[in-house]
Amino acid sequence: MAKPTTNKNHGINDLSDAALLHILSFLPTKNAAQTSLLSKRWRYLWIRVPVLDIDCSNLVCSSDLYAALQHRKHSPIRKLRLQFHGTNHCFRHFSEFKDWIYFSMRRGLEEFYLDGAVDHPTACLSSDHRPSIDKHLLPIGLMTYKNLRVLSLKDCSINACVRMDFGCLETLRLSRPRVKPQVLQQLIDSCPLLRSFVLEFYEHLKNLELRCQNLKSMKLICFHSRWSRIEFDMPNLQSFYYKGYLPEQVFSLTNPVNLIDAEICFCKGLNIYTDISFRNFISKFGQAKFLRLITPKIEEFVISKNLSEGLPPFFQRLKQLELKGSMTSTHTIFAIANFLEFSPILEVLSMIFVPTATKMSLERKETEFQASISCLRHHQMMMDSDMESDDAEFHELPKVSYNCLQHHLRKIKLVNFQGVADEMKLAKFLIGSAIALEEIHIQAIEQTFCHHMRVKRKLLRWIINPHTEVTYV
Amino acid sequence: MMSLAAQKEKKIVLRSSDGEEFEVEVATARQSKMISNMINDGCVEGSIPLFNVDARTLAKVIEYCRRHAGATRILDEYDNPNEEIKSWDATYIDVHQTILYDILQAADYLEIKDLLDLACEQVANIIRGKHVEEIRNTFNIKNDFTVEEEKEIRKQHPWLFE
Repeated sequence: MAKPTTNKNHGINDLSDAALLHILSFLPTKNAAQTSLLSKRWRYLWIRVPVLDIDCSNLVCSSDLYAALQHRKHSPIRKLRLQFHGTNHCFRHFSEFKDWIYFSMRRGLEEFYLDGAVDHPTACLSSDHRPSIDKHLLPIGLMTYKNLRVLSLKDCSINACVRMDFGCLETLRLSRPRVKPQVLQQLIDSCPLLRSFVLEFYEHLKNLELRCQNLKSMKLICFHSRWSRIEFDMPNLQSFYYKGYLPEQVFSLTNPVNLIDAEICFCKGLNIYTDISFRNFISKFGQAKFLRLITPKIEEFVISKNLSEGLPPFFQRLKQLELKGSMTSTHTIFAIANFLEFSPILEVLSMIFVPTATKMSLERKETEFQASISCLRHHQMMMDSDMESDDAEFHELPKVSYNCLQHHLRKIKLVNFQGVADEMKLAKFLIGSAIALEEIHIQAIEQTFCHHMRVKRKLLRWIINPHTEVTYV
Repeated sequence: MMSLAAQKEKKIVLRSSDGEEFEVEVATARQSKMISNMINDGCVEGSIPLFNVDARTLAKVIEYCRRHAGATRILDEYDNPNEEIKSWDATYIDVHQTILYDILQAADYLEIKDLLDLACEQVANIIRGKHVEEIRNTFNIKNDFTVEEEKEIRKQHPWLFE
């Protein structure tokens, strides 16, 4: 075969102008402008980049940039990103901020990102201590600018407007918005083509009611208020993401018959008092095909028998279920059994274990090392003792035969598997009752070699379907 | 004899500029808008010659397409970042500059938008935060300004080159 000598591209200068412009469009405009000094070819290249990414907290830079860019008479600006990091002194030059927006709008702006973030920790739970800053008011002209496809506002106030019209807007992202729910609804109503909506850190409220006919994807991030009531009317939703606390009283989602994907992440553990709320919440995603649930402890997903009795299975269409959290007791097994019972056609079950005690001292490692050496010596002996201990240990496992276990569940994935007693019980429960299982994939967490050998041997012995393929890494 | 699954899965043959042939699944090939259009137009009988992509680059590009074809889920459609894919991408694109340009140009030619973005962003990351002289060295760019010209540019935009 000929060697790849035909290719002569060995330097950045061999790339076309279009490619270089594309590269520069990923840089802050100041960085892009600095490349004008590289060589003659690069001299005026940056002026044609269709993206402006400007840090307004550096005023000198911002106004000079503005002056320099006045030369670009007709080249389009597709994307404008304005950032106000660290300080709020830029508000003295508020008019300049508007200038940038109008300047870009005249050049066909399609995507607008405003980041009014004052330095704050991004940690999920520490949202109360943010410094209060002045408002970033959006210019009125933008509110009726129909060319926009993407609008993303961070730490920004949105006030009521007589008229809002975002005729082409497809993606809306609001992070820590200062906006009243009625105004938010007005904003959404003004976007007939809205497909994707992200709402992050919308706080200090108790009730939220939103409707959006055409919305396909909804993401709610860091919903940490004590929500008592959340009601959404989004009949065409296909993808739903929720991260926050479990709403305490009402959560309603108008029958999303087209729902495909749902991901729910609870930042705070549930408790038994939220049992009904949890059941109500989770049953709203009954139409999903893919469901991913993340919680501090997986066992909290138990739905008590007296609540579920007589109910039809929630997850009529669920094909893939992923659970992520720590496993601290055998209750987890009952939680899983719950899900299996409620998901008649489940095909793939993934579990990602989050280790609880992450402290693994050197001392312990040392002991384990010793243990593994002695274990290797008494390999045969251990093997025998394994055989005997197994079944006595695990006698309390539930005996079940759900529809999905009988006919559909073909793949199980266990990630961060340590092989401790509870996990082994769970594994035994799963592979011992999944008759249709074709494949089990286990990603083990760092442990001694000897330990893995034992775990694998046990697993192989428990498998009910002899054709199941086992991968253990 | 072919298994039923293999029969179902139609393959397409891509031929690199240096004559090597690669057999790929339709879903993988469709990651390229150019090839996808060719499939739609029904002109993929025999092998598709790609005059601008050599075997080394094509193998690398196919690796990307295969990963992304297998990972298509609805969530990704609405640009919800999939952590697994993102970390795979980061490792994938961490390559030597010359290979990076080859991938970039191949992605441009084959119209694989995500790969083009990935490669361009990687180059941008190399530029980011570097001084002019550092950038010239990194990319082997020859300074063709005279001393006077360079002075003049620096004077025009003093705020850029503090």
